[in-house]
Amino acid sequence: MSMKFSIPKTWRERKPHYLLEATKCKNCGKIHYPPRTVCDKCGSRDLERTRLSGEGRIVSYTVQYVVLDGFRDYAPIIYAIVELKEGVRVLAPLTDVKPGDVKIGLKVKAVLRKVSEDGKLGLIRYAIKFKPLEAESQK
Amino acid sequence: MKPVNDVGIAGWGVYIPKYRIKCSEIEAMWGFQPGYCRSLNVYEKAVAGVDEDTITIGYEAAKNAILRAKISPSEVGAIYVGTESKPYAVKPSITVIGEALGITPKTLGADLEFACRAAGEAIEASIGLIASGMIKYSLVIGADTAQASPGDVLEFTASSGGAAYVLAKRGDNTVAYFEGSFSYITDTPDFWRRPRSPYPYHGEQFTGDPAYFHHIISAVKGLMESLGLRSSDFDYAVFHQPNGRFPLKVASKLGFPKDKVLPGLITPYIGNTYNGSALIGLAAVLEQAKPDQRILLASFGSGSGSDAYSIIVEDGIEERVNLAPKVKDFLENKEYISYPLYAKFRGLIEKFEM
Repeated sequence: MSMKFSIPKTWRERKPHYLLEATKCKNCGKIHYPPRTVCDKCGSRDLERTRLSGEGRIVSYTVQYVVLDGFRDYAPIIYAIVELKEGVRVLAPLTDVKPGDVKIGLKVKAVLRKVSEDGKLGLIRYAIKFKPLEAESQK
Repeated sequence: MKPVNDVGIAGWGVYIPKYRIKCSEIEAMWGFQPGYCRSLNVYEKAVAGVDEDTITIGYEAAKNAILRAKISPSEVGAIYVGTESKPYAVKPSITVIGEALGITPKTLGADLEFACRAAGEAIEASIGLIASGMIKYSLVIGADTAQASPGDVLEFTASSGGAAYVLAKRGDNTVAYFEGSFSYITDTPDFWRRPRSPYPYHGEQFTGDPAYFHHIISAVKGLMESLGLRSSDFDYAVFHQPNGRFPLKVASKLGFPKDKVLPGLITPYIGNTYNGSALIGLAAVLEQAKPDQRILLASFGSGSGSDAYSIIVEDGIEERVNLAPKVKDFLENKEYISYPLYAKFRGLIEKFEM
């Protein structure tokens, strides 16, 4: 049985993927997602783990109709760049929304969803996706 | 059963996927007599999206329960999910949920299985752990993405959804408490699923009298006898809801009028969420109940067993209601889908692997 997913990578990335865990530079305050070991702004290695709010607005998006093997069930997949309240930009799929209903500026929140499966026998990967906030919250 | 120290509910939360299929569409698809599903008192059912399963549903319900309990996830000392639709046959669901909520690693927990009643068992186990002082808070989740063979009558009701409860010692952040409980289980083969079988097998009418009705009635009567209560002492009655008809019938047999059952009867609008069924009904009742009111909760799981609880509502419940989305919000936020899309979402279409 061959596995396409790296088990150590899936395990190592679980907190950023499940909890939107980021790093914050104790020297300059910059927040990085995904987490880093060295700040890309000031070069400091003095970073701490922090959890992002999961609420933000869509900055840009694209719709993928031609998908990789194993992703046909999820198609069309909408990938968005979401700017969170903290000012950090996150690239992630959207869920529970149709391509025609997505707009730049749409308010979204993070939810935990399945993102991929390693065939019928391998690991299931769970991670953050974004879904639109309810209509009344868009104002 | 009554613990030495009373245990109660600190927070509750539900999650119901937004997708719905009308039962009339399933009727038409498989050539049932029009109006068949009306005889079950079920009109539409909730369908998990293609990227949802028991883990994601349980996570969302638990997040809402923790919000209402106003606690830090790290305070949860035990986490249980009752389900019969685990994403993995071997690998716990609660480790993913616990990790994603920030509960792990200093906790105990497990996935429990007893058909639709496993979450009821989890409540009993949690009461014991909390009453004994071993843990402060327990998180109990009942969640399922119920399976039904296409064209089986079960397909009208088998749905997706979940509920979660944060339990604590009475008076320690609780807004309702368990006055007592009574469990009743026997070996009754009304419904089962063998290993490697994608869909359950059920005993048609056998699921009624010897299973659902006998076990719930026995548990509720046992509860009322042990506490010295009558049906008139309860303000609400919430039963497991395999369809919209059985809870009303069992209520009638036990002497509960319809108006005490309807506030917690949610299955007609979302189907049977299995381990979420009675617990979503209880959530709907908690969202309108007033302090000092008494609620009967009776779970049921095939195989078979029932747990009956008497729950007394306490002060402070009203201010918890709006801390998270309510059952009513989930009922209103819906999108109808076609049978083909439902079939895709539920994995009913077998793709040939190239």
